[in-house]
Amino acid sequence: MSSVDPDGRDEPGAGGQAPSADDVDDPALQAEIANPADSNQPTGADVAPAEGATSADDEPVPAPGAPGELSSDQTPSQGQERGDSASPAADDVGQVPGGDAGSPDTTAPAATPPTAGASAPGTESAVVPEQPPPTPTAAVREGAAAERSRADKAAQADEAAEVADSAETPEAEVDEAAGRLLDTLRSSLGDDLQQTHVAHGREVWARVSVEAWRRTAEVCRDELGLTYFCFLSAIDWMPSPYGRSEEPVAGDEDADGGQQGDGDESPATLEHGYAGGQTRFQLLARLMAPVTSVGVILKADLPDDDLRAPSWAGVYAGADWHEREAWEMYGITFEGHPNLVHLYLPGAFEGNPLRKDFPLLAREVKPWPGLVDVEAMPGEGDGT
Amino acid sequence: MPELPGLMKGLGVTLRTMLKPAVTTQYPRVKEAPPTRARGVIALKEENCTVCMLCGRQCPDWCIYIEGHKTKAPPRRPGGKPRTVQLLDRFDIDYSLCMYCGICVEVCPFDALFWSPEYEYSEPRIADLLHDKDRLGEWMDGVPEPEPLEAGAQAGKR
Amino acid sequence: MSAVPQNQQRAYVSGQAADARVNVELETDGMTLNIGPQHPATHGTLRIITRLDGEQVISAEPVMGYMHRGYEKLVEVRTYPQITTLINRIDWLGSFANEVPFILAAEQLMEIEAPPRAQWIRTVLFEMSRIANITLFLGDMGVQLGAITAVFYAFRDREHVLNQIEAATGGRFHPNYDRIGGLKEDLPKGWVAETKSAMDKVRRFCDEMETLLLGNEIFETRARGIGVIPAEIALNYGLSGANLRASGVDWDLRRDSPNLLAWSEVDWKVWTHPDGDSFARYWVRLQETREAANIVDQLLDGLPSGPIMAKVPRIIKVPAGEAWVSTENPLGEMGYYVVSKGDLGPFRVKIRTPSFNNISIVPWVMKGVYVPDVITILASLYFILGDIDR
Repeated sequence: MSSVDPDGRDEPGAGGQAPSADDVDDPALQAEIANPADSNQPTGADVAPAEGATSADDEPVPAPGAPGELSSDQTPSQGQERGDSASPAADDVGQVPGGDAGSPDTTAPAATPPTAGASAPGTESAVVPEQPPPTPTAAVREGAAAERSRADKAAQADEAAEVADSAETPEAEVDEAAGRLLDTLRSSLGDDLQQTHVAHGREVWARVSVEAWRRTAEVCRDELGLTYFCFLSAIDWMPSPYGRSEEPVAGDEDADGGQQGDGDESPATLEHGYAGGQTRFQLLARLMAPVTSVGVILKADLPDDDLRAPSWAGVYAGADWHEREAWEMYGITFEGHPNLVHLYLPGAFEGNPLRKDFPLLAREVKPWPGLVDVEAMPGEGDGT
Repeated sequence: MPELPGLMKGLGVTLRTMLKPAVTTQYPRVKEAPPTRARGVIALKEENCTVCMLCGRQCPDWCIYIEGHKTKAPPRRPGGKPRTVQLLDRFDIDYSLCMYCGICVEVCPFDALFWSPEYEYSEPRIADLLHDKDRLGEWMDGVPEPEPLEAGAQAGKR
Repeated sequence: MSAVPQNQQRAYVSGQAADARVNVELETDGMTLNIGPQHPATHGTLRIITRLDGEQVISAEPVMGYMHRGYEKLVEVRTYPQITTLINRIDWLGSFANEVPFILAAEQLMEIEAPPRAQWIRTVLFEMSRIANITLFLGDMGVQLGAITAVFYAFRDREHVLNQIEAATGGRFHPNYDRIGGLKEDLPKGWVAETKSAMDKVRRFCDEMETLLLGNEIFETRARGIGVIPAEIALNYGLSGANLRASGVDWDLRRDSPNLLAWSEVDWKVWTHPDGDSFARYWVRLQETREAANIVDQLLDGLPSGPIMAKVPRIIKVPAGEAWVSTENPLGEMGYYVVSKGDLGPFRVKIRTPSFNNISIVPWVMKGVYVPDVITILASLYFILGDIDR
């Protein structure tokens, strides 16, 4: 505990408000005091694990009601501190999310608020760019960058404190858990953990390679205690060729997607969300630890020409139906699934409805009534 | 098991329940009075409508059909220029599609649409559920005044 | 593991064993029994194909999709304000509760927070939809076990709650009252007092159910030790809500999820039961209903005054990003994974509904039970078809 706290405090220059935290022995109290102090650093999440850090966080459950308290996060600094102090492992934990983004420099300036990609709003920049999976070296580099940026940060810390406070709402104690979670994922999955992202200081996104999909589940269940299966699905990142079928503001005929189903967009236009990605289809799943409500959102890229993934049915029994649904909705085959048959759709159904290039007929057969000059609808023009 | 006391107790409950009035309403004879806010049917105040199409565009179900045309209206002040106004040709709501979400009423910037708690307009033919603007105008009679708000509410929004 | 009293477990097992012996003697043939899709125990249209050996179920395979409406596809062509009206219809008995996690997810992406009064009213209505939902279960479970009175009481007392929901929101079943940044409008005058009296009726109803069903010998025999789900299995299948708490897992997102609405402002308790059987599930839900009534009362006492709407742009565009928010809905954990690309509507929404997971345990839990118990277990798992099929 003690080793961590000081770090936290030194760094963000939060020191000003913080001193009292040191004096308190009770970890819970300490955490409480420390949090507000550190709040300028949003990131905490990545940081986390570490030595004694946890104990404080485990206990206190801050009254959710008090927004002020909530918004504070601690630790960001700790991450960096540890990073520079060295073990690469420690620091890549800290940095992965933003870090692999490889644009440490872009991140850093934004650093006032979040850094390591940990916290929500600010992070976008760090995360969005497509980057090769983080390698340890990348992480290290990032660590260094973080160090560099630390100086600025310290400088800005005071203003940052307020800004960050209002801007982010990471939770101290969950931060801790999120960091620990990332740490374990990293050490257990190695290179198969391709990219991570932390938002609001506690929601963890992790993208893993599809080969490690099942192993990830096992790690989550056995090592991380995420025994509760939340959901499994997929995302089709291709922009819909049909548009949104309506465009309330600019309602011209282009906006009404009906006419323009001109087919495939090149995958070049794919824009992925948190934790990045390279392919059109991504698996999406969430696992949670009961009681603590710590969870992780997992993603995995599926090669466009080979939509296959290992089944989770043997790890989480609940995944059975979710995989059947993903299979019929996206056409992803889950290998090792005991009974991959239609769940919702009739057996003879053709197509994969949730793919973006599957037309939503209800919106195709009828013109958008918001158009000014509509021809009469079939069977409706006579006023019935 | 003491069976007799149990039986007596049970019969007691039956007797008490028998003497209580029924909680159900005998519908066709006794009408239920819905609360003021109940979303029963949408009423159209035609003179307020400027054919801006907002309701039709925001409708999640696409069940509002509007047509209008531009025309000249006499100027507001004598000597002014004649105004261009949109006149409503057609305003239909297809109640067989409507989900009663109330988005059209909310987005209407000119207060031309209102909720009325009236609920008795079922039809044997589904096509008759398409209410045209005259039919929608008739519902205006049933539109209640906005009710006062609970203590602690901030006045202003309707 | 569950803690069904030893003697009951033994009785149950030996009963099964005895029957198995009989079956061997009679050389029963396998038989397929099709339950539903129009069976009253299925709350809609769920079909369960059971294969029987005599009176015993060898396998049970739910077939669904009769009510699949494809919400995940539909919301992709709708704007954020339009979506609340759709998702109302997922769990139609507790529909306000469906809106909340979605709105919270959108608010999270927009970094908007609803003012306190709105949060409190949301919590009140959330709990009222819980009551509206679960009271029906409390009565319905009686019907499934042959006690028809209970369901009439349930419908009667649920009406008071629905009336209050309608008075505030305008819709009995589909409130569409939650907005990004707050609520549609404030409560009507006199609503608080009327709601409190409705809550009294709910509490009285719970007492009534307690004496009527929980104390009933037949009910107990038919529900105790039936459909036991151990905690690990429940978690593995992703069971949530009362089904999970009845297996002894002390987990309630209202308490354990940080910063959600106003639950942390009031004093309440999460009920769990160690047994994991049908009786435990009924018992937990009964306590929860009572607790919900208490939460509503407390919240109404402390209702803060002020605005009910935060500053929100007139045309709502949600910044690009992803958000996951789940809440403890009447049926369990309901969550929305919202992917936004900065448009008027979401790019992708994954809707995690509790009933889907809750019912996925059916093939596991039905193995080896007797045919009448199938209905008990189905009723006690409590699902809403719209919530399974989405």
